[in-house]
Amino acid sequence: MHKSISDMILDIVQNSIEANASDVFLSFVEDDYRAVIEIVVEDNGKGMSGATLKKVVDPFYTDGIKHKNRKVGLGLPFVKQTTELVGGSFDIASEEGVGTKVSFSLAKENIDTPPIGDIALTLLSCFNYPGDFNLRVNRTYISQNGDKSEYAVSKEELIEALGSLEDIESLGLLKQFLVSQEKSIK
Amino acid sequence: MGKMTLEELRNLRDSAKKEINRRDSEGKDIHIIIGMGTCGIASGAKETFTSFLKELESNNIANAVVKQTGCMGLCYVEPTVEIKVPGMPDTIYGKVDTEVAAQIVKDHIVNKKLVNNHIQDKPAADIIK
Repeated sequence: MHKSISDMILDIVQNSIEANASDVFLSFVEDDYRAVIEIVVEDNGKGMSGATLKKVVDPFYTDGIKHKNRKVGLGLPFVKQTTELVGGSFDIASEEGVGTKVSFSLAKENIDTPPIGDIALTLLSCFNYPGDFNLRVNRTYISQNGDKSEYAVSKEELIEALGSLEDIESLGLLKQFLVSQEKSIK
Repeated sequence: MGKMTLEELRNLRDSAKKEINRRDSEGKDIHIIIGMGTCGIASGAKETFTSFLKELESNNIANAVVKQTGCMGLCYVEPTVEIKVPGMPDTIYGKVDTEVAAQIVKDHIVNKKLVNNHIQDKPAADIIK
């Protein structure tokens, strides 16, 4: 099981990238007013048939391509199991040739809800992940009073500002950038 | 620091680029490839990633590239990292937590010495194409 919600997000975003998406959208809402965490990962990748869609939440199902002789695919089952444990919700919708959307929510106060984890580091990993895709991130925090603060960042903008997202200098600066975005909303 | 803007990010990058051009460079990059499949994520590969960034920066190593890869088939010794340093054999290390990452930068990358007790073999047979 992943230790944090951020880890789950990285896993699901990777699914989108591996589905050959050219555009991946991640929305992460942390709502202290309603005490809920809501995440959406939406992509324009190859999508899945209805039959495959039913199988993806089975931990013993994998597409057989990534690991030819393996019999486990754990990313989505981890998320589904966690949301069920904490009274959250989980939904996955997909259409072949169009894309996939994974949405899930977790009750913030539930004792079994994993910690959120290091969001800046997770986003850093998502942006550094190899592949020809754009990743758009919308990150929102709502305080107990209902005050909303947010930021948006996209891989295209970052490449425009930094050049490569793989060399040490760029990664160091990107980390600082993401940390400062996170600090600005909480 | 207030919220960094993209403009500030761009400017920082441009001034960093000028610095690098002034330094001596052999022209060959060091490659650090971190396994970030489900197994890697679950065992803390993200923290390994950030540890490499920190250690490389504090050792003033600029000619390095950090990449992620999916599972290398060595799930039982995650986090795994492949290190490619010009002049050294390409090595896959296992159980690379934040401390081992620091050790790899110090020994393998800076001092060109293998970290023997963490060397794994090549990726598992079912991953090799």
